[in-house]
Amino acid sequence: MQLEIKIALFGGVVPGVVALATLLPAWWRAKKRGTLAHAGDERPARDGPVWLAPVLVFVAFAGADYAVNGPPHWWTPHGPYRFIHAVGLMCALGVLEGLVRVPVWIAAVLRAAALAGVVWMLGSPYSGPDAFVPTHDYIGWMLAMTIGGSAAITLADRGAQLMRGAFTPIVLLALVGGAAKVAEMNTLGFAAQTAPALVAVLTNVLIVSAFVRGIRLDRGGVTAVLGVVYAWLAGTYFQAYALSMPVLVLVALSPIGLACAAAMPKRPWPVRLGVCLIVTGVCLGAAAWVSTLAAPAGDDSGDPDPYAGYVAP
Amino acid sequence: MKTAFAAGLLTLAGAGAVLGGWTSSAATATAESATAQRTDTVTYGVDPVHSNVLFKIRHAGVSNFYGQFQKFTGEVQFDKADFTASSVSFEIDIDSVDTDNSKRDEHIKGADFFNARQYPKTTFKSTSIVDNGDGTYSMTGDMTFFGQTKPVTAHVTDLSTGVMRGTPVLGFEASFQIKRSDWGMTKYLADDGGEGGGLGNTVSITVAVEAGAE
Repeated sequence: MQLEIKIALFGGVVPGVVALATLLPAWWRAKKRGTLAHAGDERPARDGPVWLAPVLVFVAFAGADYAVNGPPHWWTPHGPYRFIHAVGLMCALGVLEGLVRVPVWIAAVLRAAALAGVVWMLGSPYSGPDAFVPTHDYIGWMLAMTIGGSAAITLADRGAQLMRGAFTPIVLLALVGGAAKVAEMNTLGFAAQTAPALVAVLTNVLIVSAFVRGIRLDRGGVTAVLGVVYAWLAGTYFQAYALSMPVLVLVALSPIGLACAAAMPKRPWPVRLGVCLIVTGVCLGAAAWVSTLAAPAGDDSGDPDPYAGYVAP
Repeated sequence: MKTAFAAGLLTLAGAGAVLGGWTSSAATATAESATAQRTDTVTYGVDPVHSNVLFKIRHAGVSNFYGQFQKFTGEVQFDKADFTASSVSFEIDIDSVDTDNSKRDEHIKGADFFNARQYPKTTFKSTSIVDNGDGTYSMTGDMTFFGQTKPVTAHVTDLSTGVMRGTPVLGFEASFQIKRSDWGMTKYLADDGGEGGGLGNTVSITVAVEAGAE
């Protein structure tokens, strides 16, 4: 099977079908039970099967990872083959968040711990006294990801909590697409190859929102999706050849776009959606622009570069 | 009488000195000869300017793609009388991969393929060289690549020696193949582990060496 077909099938079509086949009946059943609150409704209500989204994110990512890397291993010494383990950790946390309601601060601590695990999995093979990443840089990255990443995910999760239905998947689709493109511009082609898996899940959440307005991605879904994005970020820094640090910082800040919804609870939802998309777009657009500026110059032969539009196989 | 005695003493002293010197020289010469007989190998350092490290891999199942490494070092402990008694060691800087396209080079040495930041070097150290009887040799050694060390056997051809600007030089070409999946590099591999995927499984490596005596 051709590589592109394999990626499209296992990292897009199959996860999409599985997502629709599970999300729609699960959330429809919750709706029929009358336990869902509508968008903007601040009443505490049963949340529905919120644990399902992180499961679907992992299944989709695993399909894409299999298409690119082949069968996974329980563990591997090779850093680039540990993405499935890092994403599995974040999705497991997402499932836990969906099943067990905990105070916000505990959720933030758990997210920080999981992100520390992500940094360790993807960064430890490259870190050490004589390794590419000095120990103090590695520790700095660990602190930045755990504190900053946890804060960003927690704020984004709060925004998703207040805006249900189609809102969150629309913003996350923009975020995932932009982050994957920036990561690919910084030589992590794997991000572009696994992004369709997330798109497949989020698109089907969007579809289901047409039938079930109360579908939501907070308490698990946001953690899982942003966990993948932060795994890309760590991979771009430690494993690939990231063009500049500001690019990584901008991508790390992009979930704040979703968090903006929480800052405008009284505004109409189209305004909130517009602001969220603009903030997300500004962060990722700036990251892409900086990547373009920081990209190495082409060859000096003067002849047209036949690989000017090189795309990873 | 006294003069004759002194002259005799001087003569004896002189003879003794000459005899001692000769003996010492002879001993040194003997020792040097013995040393030379015990160490017939000469160290040759690989000349990176006149050597090449090339690799070939199947792309998209339809074409052969070639690349090379620009930075490497090596040493040949060359026994001129018996090449099978020689040894070869080599180290390649993975970050120096060159495919004539800077974007592709960045991609290849990144996480998706060579993972140069985790495995910056590839090394080879020969353990045995066998004469095939047809002017070629089979050189077996330990190759460390992608964090693992495995034995490989290279086919050595075109072994030659000469002198270049007064310096003894030698040259040969070594070629071998590996299955990248054996080393844990499975990206874009076909389901059957063959050559039909985005990138093939078999990597052909050719090392053309020119080395000068040190």
